[in-house]
Parts: sequence; C-alpha cells; structure tokens
Amino acid sequence: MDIANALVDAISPVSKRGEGTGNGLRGVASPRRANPSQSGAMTTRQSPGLVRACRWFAAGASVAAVLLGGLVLVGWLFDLPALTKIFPGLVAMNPATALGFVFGGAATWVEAGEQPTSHLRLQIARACAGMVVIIGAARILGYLFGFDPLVDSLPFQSQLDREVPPNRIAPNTALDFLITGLALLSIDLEVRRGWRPAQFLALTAAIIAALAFMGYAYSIEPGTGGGEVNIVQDICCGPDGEAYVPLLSRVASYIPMTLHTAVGFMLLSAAILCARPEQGIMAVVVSDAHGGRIFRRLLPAAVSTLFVIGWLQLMGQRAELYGPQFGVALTVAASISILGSLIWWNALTVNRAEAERERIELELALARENEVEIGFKIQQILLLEQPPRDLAGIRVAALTIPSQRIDGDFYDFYRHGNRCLDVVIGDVMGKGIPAALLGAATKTHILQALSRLVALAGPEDLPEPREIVSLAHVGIVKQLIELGSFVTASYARFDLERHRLDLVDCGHTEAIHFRHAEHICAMLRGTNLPLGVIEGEIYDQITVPFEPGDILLFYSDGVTEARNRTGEFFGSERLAEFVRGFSHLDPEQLVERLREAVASFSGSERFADDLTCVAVTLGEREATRRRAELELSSTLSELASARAFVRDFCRALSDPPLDEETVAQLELAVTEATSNIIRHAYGGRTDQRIQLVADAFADRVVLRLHHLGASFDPEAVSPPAFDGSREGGFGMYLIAHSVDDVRYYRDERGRNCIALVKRRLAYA
Amino acid sequence: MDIAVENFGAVTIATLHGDELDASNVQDFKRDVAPVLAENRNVILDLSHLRFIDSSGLGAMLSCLRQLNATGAELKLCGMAKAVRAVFELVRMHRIFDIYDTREQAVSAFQR
Repeated sequence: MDIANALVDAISPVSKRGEGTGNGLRGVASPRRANPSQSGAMTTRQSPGLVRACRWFAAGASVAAVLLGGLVLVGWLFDLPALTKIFPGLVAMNPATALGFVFGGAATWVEAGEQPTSHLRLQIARACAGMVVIIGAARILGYLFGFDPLVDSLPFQSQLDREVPPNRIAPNTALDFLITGLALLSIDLEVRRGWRPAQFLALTAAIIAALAFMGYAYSIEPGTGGGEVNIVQDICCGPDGEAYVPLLSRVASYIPMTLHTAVGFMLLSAAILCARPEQGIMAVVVSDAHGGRIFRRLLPAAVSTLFVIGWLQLMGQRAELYGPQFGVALTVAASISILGSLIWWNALTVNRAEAERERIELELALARENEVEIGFKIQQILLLEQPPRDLAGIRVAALTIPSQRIDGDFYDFYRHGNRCLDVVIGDVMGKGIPAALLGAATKTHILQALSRLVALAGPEDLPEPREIVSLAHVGIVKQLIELGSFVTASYARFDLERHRLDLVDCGHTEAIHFRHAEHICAMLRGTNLPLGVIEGEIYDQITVPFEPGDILLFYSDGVTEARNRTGEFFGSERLAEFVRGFSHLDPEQLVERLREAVASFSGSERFADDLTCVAVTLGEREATRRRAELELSSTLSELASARAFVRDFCRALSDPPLDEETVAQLELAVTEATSNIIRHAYGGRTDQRIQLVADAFADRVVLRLHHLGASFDPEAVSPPAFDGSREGGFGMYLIAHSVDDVRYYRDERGRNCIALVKRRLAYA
Repeated sequence: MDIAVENFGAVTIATLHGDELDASNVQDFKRDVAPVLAENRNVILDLSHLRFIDSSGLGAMLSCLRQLNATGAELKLCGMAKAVRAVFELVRMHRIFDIYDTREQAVSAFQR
C-alpha cells in the first residue's frame, strides 16, 4: 500500500509510531540522544551511569592536574623541595611543567563541564590549551635547534641551576605538552566515521607518560623501599653500565620526565578522553553492549597483568634467578597463559549472551507466529463473509489468501430481498492484529449505518450507498485519524431490477467491469478519499449500467501489487486482460484461476499482502418455470414423502419433460441429502423441520434443502470403499454423481442449505 | 418388511415385498432377513419388487453378503429394476455381487 503510506505520512506525523522499536527491547537509551555526531561506526547503546562517571572523572582529574601544578609552583615560590619533588631524591618538576599542568588542567576542566559552555569560558579554555602547546613547542624547538627557549630556565633560575644537571623540561615532557595541547584544541574535531584525532593524541600522550612511569616503577630495587635511590642514574645508565642502556632510555638520559609529571600526564590524558565519553573510541568503552563490557573487563586486567609480569621478570633477573633470554621466555609464556584465560573468560560471556539472544529470538518468532494465527482467525471470523448463493440473476464468489502478516482486508454482502445486492470490500492501512481489528470495526460501522438508514427509510426505499458510506465514515473518522490509520473501500450496489451498479469508491483499487457485449474491460474509479482521512469528506457515487454476461471484479492491492522475480507488478492492466480472457468462467472458477495466475506470476504460493477479491457475474433474471415447497419433519419416515414430492414435481414439468432416469437420480439425491440432514445435521432429533424447495428453470431443476442443523463439510467426507469392505459412506458419492452441481451455503435467513442442481436436456 | 422365503432343493429364494429400501426401513429389512441368512447356505435375494434403493439399502445388501461369506455360504441377487441396478453400478457394487436378471438364472447358477 505505497500510496496509502505516502498519504498517511502527509496527514499524520505520528502515524508510524511503533515502527522501528526493535532496539527498545531492553529499553536502555542514552540520555543525550539525537547527537548527530553519534552516527559513527562505533555508536551503540551507552550506559548512562558510565557516561556520567566519565564526566565526573574528567572533572576530578583536571582539578587534580591543576592542584599538582599549583602545589609545585608554590613549592618553587617558597623553595620547598617537598612540594617540587614530592618524593625526596627524585628530580623536581620544572615550574614551566607545573604551569603547563595548571593550564592543561584548566582547559580540560572547562571541556569536561556541561556542554555547550559559554563563549567566554570556551575562549579561556582555548587560550589555556594554546599556552600548553606553546610551552611544549618552544622546548622542543629549543632542543632541535640548540637554543634556550627560556620558558623552563627563566623563572626561579637560581633554584633550577642549583641541580645537576640543571633542571629543564625533558624532551618527552615537552612532546607530551605539545600533544596534550593539540588534543585539547581539537577535542571536538571529528573526521570520517566518527573518529576523533584528539582521542588518539591523548592516548599517545598517556603512553609516553606511562613509559616514564614504568621506568620508575621497574627501577625500584627490592629492599630499598623506593627510598634514596638515584633514579636518574638508574634510568640513565642502568645498573650494569652503558652497555645496557636501551635506545629509548637514552632520551631519558638527558633529563627524565619526573614521576609526578608522568602521573600528571596520565591524569590529564585520561581526563581528555573522559571529557567526551560518548564520542569516537570512547563510545565503545562506555557502551552498554557486550563489546563495552568486555573492554572494561579486559583492559584493566590485561594492563595490570602485563605490568606485574614485567616487574616480576625484572625482579627475577636482578635476583639472578635467570638470564634475560629465559626472563623474556617466562614473560611471554606467562602473558600467553593469563591473557589466554582472560580471552577465554570473555568468549564464554559472549557465548552465553549469544545463547540468551537466540532464546529470545526464538520466543519472539513463536509470539509472531501466534499473532499470525490469531490475526488469521480474526479475519476468518470477523472480516470475511460467505457470498450469497441463491440470488437469481447474480453470482458472487470471493477469495482470500492470507499473507504472513494479516492485512485488514474484509468483504461483506448485504442482500435486499431479491432486488439488490450490496458488495463491500475494504482494506485497512497497516498489518497485523491492529489492522484486523480496525477492519472488523469498519465493517461493523458500515453495517450499523446501513441498518439505521434502512430503519429510517420507507418500506420500499433503500438508502443510497453514498448515504451509507457517509454515515459509516462519520462514525469512524475521528478514531481512524487518532490511530493514524485509514480504510480504502468500495461499496457497490447491484440493482438487479434496473440493471445498474451504484458504486462508492473510497480510495480503493479500481473495480474492473467486463462488458460482455463489447468484450472490453472498463476501470471504475471514483474520486473519494479513503475512510478516516479527513472529516467532512462528501462521498459521491458513480452509476454504471450492466448487462447479462457482465463481470465485476473487486480486489485488494495485494493482487495488483504482487511482484514477479524481476520486481514487476501484476498490475491492473494484466488483471483486466485476465478477466477478459476468462470471462466465460463461473465466478468461483474465475477467482480460483486468478489465484493460480497470481501465484504463477509471483512464483510463490505465499504473498506479501493478503490477496482478496470478489467476482460478480451478472446473468438474466430468469423466470422460474415452476416452483413447489414441502415442509418435512426430521424423521426418516419422511424420506418417502420427499421422494414423492420430487417425483410429482418433475413429472409435472413439460417442454421438455424430464426423462425417468433423471427423475430417479433426483429422487436418490434428495433421499441421501435428507437422510444426511436428519441423521447428521440434526443428530437424530425428530422434532425439527426441513424445508424442501423445488425450482424449475428453462435449463435446470434446483432442489434446495434448508435446515437449522449443523453445517456440513463435504471436504471432510472420505471417499467410499468400492471393494465392499465398508457398508456405509456411499451417500455423498451418490449425491455428487446423481446431480450436476451440489452447493452448501447459508441462506439469507442463516439456515444451512444444500442445493442440488440438475441440468435439463436442451430443447430438441 | 415382508420377505417371502421359498426353497428349491439346496437353494433358498427370499423375495422382498417392499418397493423401497431406504434409511427409514433398512433396520426392519436387516432384522427380517437375518433368520433367512442364518438358516440357509445358498441364498438368492429377489429384488424384482424394489423400485428404489438408497445408500443405506446398499449397505444392508453388503451386510447380507458379508454375513453369508463369513460362513462360506453364498448370496446372489436377481430381478433388479433399472433404477436399482443404476445405483449398484454407480458405486461399482455390481462387481462385488453376483447379479442375475431372473430368479431362474440365479437358481441355475447355484445348481451348476
């Protein structure tokens, strides 16, 4: 229903509520949704608690960085080594470094706060970040080109130069400032697929700092308790002299990054990462999905494990338990086993989650199946009526094939004596049980409108279809608009006396009118909107004359919108051509052929939409040549009277008379049918009635048996045993082979009816 | 239902005197024919008076046949009207029963 969806989009912005709620299953949504920058590849559901914790951590860590820098500056100001060095025996933090932390911390604090922040605060943060970049860049340029940039030597010069070597910003510290400053300046820069360069800069800064930090950690000899060790010496030269100094430590041999500087950088980098917890790589870290949980579990475990293993290796080597080669081998083996276990543990978690998800999916599939079944039952019970079978001059057949998800297709028939037949066919926008229920409600409203208007009209007057549709529309329009749904429908009245069709088309598919005389198909289309689109719609009806031999086909868009493998629609033109080609068929055969045609076109017996159609063939309102009725009571002793009635009726016919064989066959069929009704439909009750009506037409005799007993399913009868092995089971077979047509239906009074049709020989 | 029984040597002819056999009188027929079937081994059912038979009547005929065959006795039918024969043929029972046009033919079939 493409047009329909477009329409509903246009009229109701909330009409598609409830669609796409798949991720709402576990109901966790980020409190800061709808951030367009979140559309990157790493976007998942995020844990609101973790996001909040990250922001708090970022704010706290930035304050800590400011405090660290501030304390060191105070230390320089009052010449307090306890503040500048923190650990006695370690190198003091350069005042420029301290200043860098104050600026960096301040900038981070602003960024970690509520976003977006005021313009002024943002400018201050930028300026602070700029200062950090300048400190780092100046020092690096100084090292590269051999000049003194003064940033780290001018303030407190005397105190600085007192140390040996003179206290300057270490190259790795300078690099870290440059990186950290750039990260702060570019914190909201996002490149393709949600990646954020600032986060990688912060990570690089953290790794450089971690390198220095681990250098300190690993250089503490057991037994010294981290006391008076010349760390500088230890790192610069190693305990075994020059030969052991690794290339990277050579950088440190100049002036190393101090321990508290390393800690400060790690804090600052972490704060920068945590200041944007929902973006870039951090989205995975704080995500509420399994990936996020695994990351948060695995990373701290892996980091601490590797750190401890490395430290143990060093300890063992220093204690001369093993040489460096064996040490590395031990480290690798330990890492493999511990990381392997961690990975296995996480794989187990993922597998369990997967199993749980599969179980839920299975449950969902079952629930869906159940829904389809309920919808199908609703449709059968509430939406689809049996077409009338015994109206002279008109034959109606209906077909519906439910799709995987029930549409709200419905049809109904209202018979006004022998004069008019109303055919209603409709289709509710949407699918599933809601659509089925709306279909039922609409059908009820139409019937209600009809009965109200009939009650108001005179005994000979019938309300016009447009009046009925308008009244039904008034009854449901508000609710339909509220629900964001609507109903397309056709209300057709066949006036069999005046040979005209009055049609109200409420946005339904074009009805196909096959005109027998010209052998062409005309498409009947009105201009009205579907029911439930706008209030105050005035429904018009179109009037078309019809002739005997004409066919009217009403259908749901499931027919015309069936697609073949190349995506082509079945289409109304193909449908009209089909009707033209099979116009000689009975309506029952026509709808069955149509089902086959659509199935072979789409290459499948299962359709995306419900396939619903109603075929009406119009005939002569032929005169009954002779009619007789007999009222029987439901006892087997009446069988002889039934036969006598049929015999007398048939023998009285002339022009042409019925031959004795035909009469005998009709006697047999009526006996079998009557005894079936007495024994099975009435279950042996002898106080019930059976009305036997005989009609003779020019070309056939029709015997009808009306009764109030249980309906009968001819499909459920097993064929007789022709080998004589069973004594019963011949009745249905005998009926079927004695007459030309047997029909089971409900008559206009709701009684079950068996109609036996026997053709008369053609005129000689 | 009246059933007249005549014996010709070892052959027993039972003649149905009703003209219709349907669900309304099939129980009577079964009851009345039972002693004939129990006492005789070569039975001919003469249906020449019968004008109408329905599926219950067919069932009763089958029941007679099976009762006799169970003890090794035999059943032959004769004298069917056209309409009755048509019902037998419709459900192919003419292939199950031995059917003769006249009682003489049926008797001589037993004596052969």
